[in-house]
Amino acid sequence: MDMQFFSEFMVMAISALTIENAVFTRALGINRTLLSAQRQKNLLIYGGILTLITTLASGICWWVTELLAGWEVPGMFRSVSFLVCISVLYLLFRGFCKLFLPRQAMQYFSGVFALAVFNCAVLGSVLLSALQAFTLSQFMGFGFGTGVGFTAAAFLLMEGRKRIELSRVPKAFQGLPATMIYIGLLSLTFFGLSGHLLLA
Amino acid sequence: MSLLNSTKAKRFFRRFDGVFQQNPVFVLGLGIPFAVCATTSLRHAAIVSIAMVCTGVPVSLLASLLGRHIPKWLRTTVYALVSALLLIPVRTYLQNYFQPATLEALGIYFSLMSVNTVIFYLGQSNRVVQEKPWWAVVIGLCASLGFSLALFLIAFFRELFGTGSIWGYPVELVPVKLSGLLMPFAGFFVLGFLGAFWQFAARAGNLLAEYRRSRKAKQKASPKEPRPAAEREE
Repeated sequence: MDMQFFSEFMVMAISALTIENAVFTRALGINRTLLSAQRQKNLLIYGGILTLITTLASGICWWVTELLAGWEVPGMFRSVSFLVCISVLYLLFRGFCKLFLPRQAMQYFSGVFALAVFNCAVLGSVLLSALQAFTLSQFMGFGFGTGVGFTAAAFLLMEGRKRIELSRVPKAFQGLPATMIYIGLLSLTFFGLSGHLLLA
Repeated sequence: MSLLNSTKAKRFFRRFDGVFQQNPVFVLGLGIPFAVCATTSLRHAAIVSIAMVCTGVPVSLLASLLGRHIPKWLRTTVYALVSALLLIPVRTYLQNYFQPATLEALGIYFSLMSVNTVIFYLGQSNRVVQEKPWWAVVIGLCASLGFSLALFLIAFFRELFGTGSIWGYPVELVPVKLSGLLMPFAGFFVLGFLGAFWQFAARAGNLLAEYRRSRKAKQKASPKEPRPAAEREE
């Protein structure tokens, strides 16, 4: 049973990290923090918080999905209930950090918490898992893989952006347009990697 | 000093920046997931735009009325929950005007409007929090219109050259149909190129305005030289 849980967890995690990467296949989680991050340490903290919240939220949201299915609640209330779970998790996590972290660290993290938690990647991951009726291990594996995949994508984007800034880019393409085209090229790579073919 | 250059006038016109100069998608880089994945057709763009207006304007109003009283660390939570609750009646209302298949094809992107970065930008922005409620509504409406304009532009190109149709109605004059335009990677490319065109147009507009201003200043600074005495006698 434990091995089956672990194997399903890992399979979904690797799938969410690679062929169903949240950033490159669904554009989830792309925001100004991701597009303007300069330091690897900040990105690592942001990605770490996102991964932790997504994994924990996946576990709680799986239980909520089972509950809502039992009560025959319409699907449109699913996102509200998931958001309530994520909000509760955010408040608990923030309270925990406030109790145990030093004040300076708390001041440093407080700006990042809300952005990392209320993110399209977090809510998108749990909604996708609910739509596909995953088991608990698959739910949590998908959530974990989404977080790790997001962090890996963030590092790729940061490195690419640094190289674009050092290159001679036409003025009209400087900033957001060049970054979008770069992400598009990476997305095309993942599209081909997953075995998709363009129809004629 | 010209009336249009006064501080009061600048403050007045800045409230309408959200449509062009501070467009949420092309300039500020907000709402990228929706610009990339919810623009495979004009109908999808319309649904997301309606959802944006129905959540962005109330959140701006809420931020103006109560933003100062809500702690900063709690604002994002409140705005996300309010948006999610507002999306329920919006979805019910939209089912009367769009086919269920169209709404289903949007997938998770309709529900994700509750964590749209445009809403958090409106809710956290000092401009909105410090404004009076009526002007906060105007700022929210302009940002929503700017977001909708960007989505419609992207969706127009993708649907026209992706499926050869506009709003689901086939267009026969389209020379080529590229099904790849409906994929997420094409959304990034179209967004990038349209963003570059937007930046080019904005820069051209600023240069033109600067040229006109400098020409007026030169005309004011150098009055016409008096004619020589010999010419005057003639």
